[in-house]
Amino acid sequence: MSSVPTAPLASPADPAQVEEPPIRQPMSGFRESLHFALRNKKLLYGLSMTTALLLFAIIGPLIAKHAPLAYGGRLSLAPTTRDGYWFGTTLQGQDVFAQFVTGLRLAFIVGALGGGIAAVIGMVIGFTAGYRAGIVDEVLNMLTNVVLVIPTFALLLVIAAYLQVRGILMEAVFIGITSWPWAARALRAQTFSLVSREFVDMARLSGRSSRQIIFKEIAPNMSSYLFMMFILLFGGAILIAATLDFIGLGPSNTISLGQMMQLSVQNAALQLHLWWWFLPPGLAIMALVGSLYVMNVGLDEVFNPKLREM
Amino acid sequence: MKRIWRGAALGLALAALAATVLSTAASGGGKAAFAGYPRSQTLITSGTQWGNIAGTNPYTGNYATGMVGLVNETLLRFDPLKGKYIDWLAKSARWSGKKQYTIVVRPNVKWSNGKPFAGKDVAFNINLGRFTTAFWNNLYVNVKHLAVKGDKVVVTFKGTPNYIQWQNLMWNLPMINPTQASTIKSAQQLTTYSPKVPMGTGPYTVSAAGFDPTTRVVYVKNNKWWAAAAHVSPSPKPKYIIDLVNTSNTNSLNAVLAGVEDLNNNYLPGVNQLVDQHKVSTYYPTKPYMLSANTAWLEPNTTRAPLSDPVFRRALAMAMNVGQIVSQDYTHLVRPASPTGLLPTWNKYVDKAAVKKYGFKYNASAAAKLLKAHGYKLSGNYFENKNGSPINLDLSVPQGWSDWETARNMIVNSAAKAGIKITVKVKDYNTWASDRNTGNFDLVIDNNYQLSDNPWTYWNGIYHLPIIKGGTGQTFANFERYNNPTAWKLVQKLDHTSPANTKQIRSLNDKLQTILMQKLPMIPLWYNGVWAQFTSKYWTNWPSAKSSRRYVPAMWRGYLQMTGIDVITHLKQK
Amino acid sequence: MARYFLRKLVVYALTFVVAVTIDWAIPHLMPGNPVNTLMGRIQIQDPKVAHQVYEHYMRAFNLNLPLWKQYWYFWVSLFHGDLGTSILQFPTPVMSIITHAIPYTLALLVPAIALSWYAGNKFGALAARRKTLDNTLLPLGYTLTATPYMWLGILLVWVLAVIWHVFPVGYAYDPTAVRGFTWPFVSNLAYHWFLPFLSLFLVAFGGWAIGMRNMIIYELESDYAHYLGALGAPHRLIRKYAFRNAMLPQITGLALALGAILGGALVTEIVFSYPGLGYQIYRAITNEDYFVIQGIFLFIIIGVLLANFIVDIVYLIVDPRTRIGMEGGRS
Repeated sequence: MSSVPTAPLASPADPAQVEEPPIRQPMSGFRESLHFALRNKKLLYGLSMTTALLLFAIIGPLIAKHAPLAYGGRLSLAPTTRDGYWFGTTLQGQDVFAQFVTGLRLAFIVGALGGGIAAVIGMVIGFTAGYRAGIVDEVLNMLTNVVLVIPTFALLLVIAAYLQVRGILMEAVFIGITSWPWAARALRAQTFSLVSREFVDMARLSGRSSRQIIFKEIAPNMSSYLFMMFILLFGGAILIAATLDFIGLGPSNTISLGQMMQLSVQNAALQLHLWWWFLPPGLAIMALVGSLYVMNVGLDEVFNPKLREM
Repeated sequence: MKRIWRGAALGLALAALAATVLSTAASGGGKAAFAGYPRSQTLITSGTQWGNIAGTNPYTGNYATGMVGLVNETLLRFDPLKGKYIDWLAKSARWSGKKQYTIVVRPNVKWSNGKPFAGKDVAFNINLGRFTTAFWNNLYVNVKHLAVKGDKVVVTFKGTPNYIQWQNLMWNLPMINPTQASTIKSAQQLTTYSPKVPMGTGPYTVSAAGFDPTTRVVYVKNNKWWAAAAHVSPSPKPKYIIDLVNTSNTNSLNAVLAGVEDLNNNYLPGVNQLVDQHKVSTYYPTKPYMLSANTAWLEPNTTRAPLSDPVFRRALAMAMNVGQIVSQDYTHLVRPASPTGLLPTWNKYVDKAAVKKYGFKYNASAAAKLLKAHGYKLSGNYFENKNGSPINLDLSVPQGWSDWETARNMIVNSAAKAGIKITVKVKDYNTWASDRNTGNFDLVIDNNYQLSDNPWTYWNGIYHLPIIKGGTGQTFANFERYNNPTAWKLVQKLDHTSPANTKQIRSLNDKLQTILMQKLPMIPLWYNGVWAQFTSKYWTNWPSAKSSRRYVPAMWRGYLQMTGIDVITHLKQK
Repeated sequence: MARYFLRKLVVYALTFVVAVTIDWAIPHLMPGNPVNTLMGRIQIQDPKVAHQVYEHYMRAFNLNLPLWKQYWYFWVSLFHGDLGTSILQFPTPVMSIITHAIPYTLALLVPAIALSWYAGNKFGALAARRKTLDNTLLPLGYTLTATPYMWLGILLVWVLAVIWHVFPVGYAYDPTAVRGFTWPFVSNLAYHWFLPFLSLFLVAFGGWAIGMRNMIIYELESDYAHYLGALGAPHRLIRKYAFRNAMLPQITGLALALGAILGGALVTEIVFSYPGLGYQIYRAITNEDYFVIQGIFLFIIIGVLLANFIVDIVYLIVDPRTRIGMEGGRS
């Protein structure tokens, strides 16, 4: 059986997935990975950018001088050091900095929660399908197909429009339960290959129970894969949430980056040259999601020795 | 070898595409390249048509903007700034007896196919009111007899006529062509009637070739328009009028700034800055920039405690910081409302003495004092009901109406300062509307009743009875469920007062205002504007407060036949 | 082979039924009654009359029937090609709304997907070979694929249309254009189409380029590539095989990516006022226009199923292992 390495997942927008799994050298230990991790430029860049934004998101709301939704500032103020309006104000006199850091925080929450839920569902379904095979696989495969085919974005629109009060939690949950299919497919393929490998057959022969096989033999090999998947789902969730917010289906009682984009556009920020309202949210999303993707590629190189030379 | 051919073919296709795009870009957007409607002779408008154009039915549905006014005209028109009716298709239309209304059709008015417009056409149109889906059906049931004699139509009523409503109908009922409309034989067909090229008496006709339901409706000038021939109105200069389907405020603003649209009737936040920079123009050159179109009210559900207590409603009114809403939310594109809620064009109806006596002003501490003096107790930061239960009112606006959402938030804040607790409830438009209609709310912001010829339309909206319990609830009026039979009787009496009896009219209007200010079943907040911004890239001589052209520049339904037509007929080519 | 296709067809048919059922169910689970909206437009004053008209519309839209009956009628009319009447744009039939909108959406989607896929793969493959190209393409690719579609769209409009008047601000064609199969009109259409197409293309391009680049690198590092190299095969041959193998996941990826690009097309249409399906479904959702929502969803479902099927066939042609595997053998 020829082996073709699994494609590193380019992005959730185009998850180029092959049905066949990689040949992975058995993990020669955490230390080796760490050694290469510290030398991988992409990983370092991605990690440092993501961490920087995370710190900003944590500290930002604490140092902001105004509540994100409070009125009272001078209208359409350009960024200034006075009064703590470091990012200026909106057309209605709200503090852009406070809104920005609040939105950034929400982006992390949505990404982690939405990506996490999708990863868990994808893992459970993909893994069960790959391990059990047979009729279970067929059924789960059909389930995956159905959810794949349904235009999830349009579905999200409908669901979000149905909710009266929308919270960030609900948004993350819905994104999570609609973006798992391709993760499930990839994990299923990965499981297939691992299950048919010699060392699993050996374990079976030696009488280990299924559970032990799963946790001791298969899981460690999958964990790195799973982690990279999670990162991609994280980034994807942020993008989907931003798009939903932009259309007006975002959380009701707070402000997110996508909503900032929406409101700035609606309130003629571009025509009135209020660039400080329009640019930061988009740039933040680009930076955050971009660094996550780069980090992902770096991780792939770390875990897959064959890529390390490039 | 094959790969080379494939590559070449693809490369060629891409090159062709690129060439097309770049050449059109280079030739200035294809202006010279296509034989389209000449831009300098076309008036392009937008701002009324949200969503696809459903057809040309002039009564209901998402019909093409401009149908009533450009194609189908009305017997009279109304100038809200002068407060006068304009004789239009009717040479005269007036009360000729206690229960009689006589319409004399103007001579030499022609349909777009050249045939004359006569009294029988008027009768046909009024008689369409027999269908339950006609919006004037409730007036029609009171008609005893319609007599047509050439150009004269005499309408006889069964009981006392609804003077005000009938007069209002005269400038709102579009005259459609009886031959074309002979297919209307049922109530349902009245709502689905939608001819491809509707025949009217107006200055323009619909171009079937240019019509694109997702994008635009194109009107072509009718060179034989009766009003131009009779010198009743200047002949309009635009040979074509194109109204574009709205998609978003941003695109509208971009289009106006780029000269793609001449007149836009959307609410464009921040447009005041652009007016100050002389990039667009509005009716007033400085605040309030726009004429006033309707009143935005805080609508309380008067059947629920403590909103059932007029004293509480008064305190609530006094806790509204409308100034903040006007200056920060709307950047002075709107005006604060008078305590009567009557639009500025109805100033002559305002009882100034009563306003002094019963009007209210923003004063949070006075509001709190008022509540304390009337038995409400503070518990912590907020007042409680008289029976001790906490007060927590919900306030909702349709989701996505961002200016109202901001106003709503500001109201919550300012009410809190007076000790009144209000919580925001988010609802999508349909839920919001059906909750409002069925009385499933505490507070909403609403702006139902438009600029019209008589404040009676406001009183009708505020005091209308009966209040419908269950089912779909209120359909068009009295959403605040205010049950005041005395006031309603006065409203009906006003409608039954002959226009000659000016004394009674004045006294009834005064009484109704006073009741409003004393009881505050609705709390007037601000006046929304007739949103209108225009550029002079292709057309000049727009209306302005400083000129003699004091016209309302709106293509909105119900507004075009006011003085919107005059805006168009006075435009000059640049 | 026949068994393979039969299996596939059964799966797709089942998927279709389930997806269509979900499609029918969700708009009906939305709160609010669309007939109330319609009534709000007519504004009848007499409550008795209002009630009559209300009942009439409920009957006209089958909304007074029990849910299971509505579901049954849905399937029946589906096979008659009747998707109902729009409530917001009463009395326009849903089919007419869709047929007016679909050309615009297809005009955006098909070239954007095809060209971005093709160009992305080509550039990605090139980048895998040349370090200099790789150093510029990689960061560019990541930036593009991480950009929210609508943000890029708005920036493009702002810079290219409002500041520099190179392209139009939106719409499908110039408001003063006369429609017809004339060269001037077609070129005008292309001129207005370009910016929305570009914003979709750029974001998608980034993703494909990166994916392909990484795939090629993998392939070049695989056993068979090294083996061929050891045998002395020319680089071109190795790259040819590597390219072929790398294409496989990209093909599957195409079907999977449809959903995301569709979402991107939706917001792009809103930004550019491009009158396609995306804009229509957005309006339908905000106005609870049941039948339009269902109709457009249906079209999308059918389209995606078709695309999946085509991809399956293409994959079968391209990858011999799948064929053998599907017939039960092991490669």
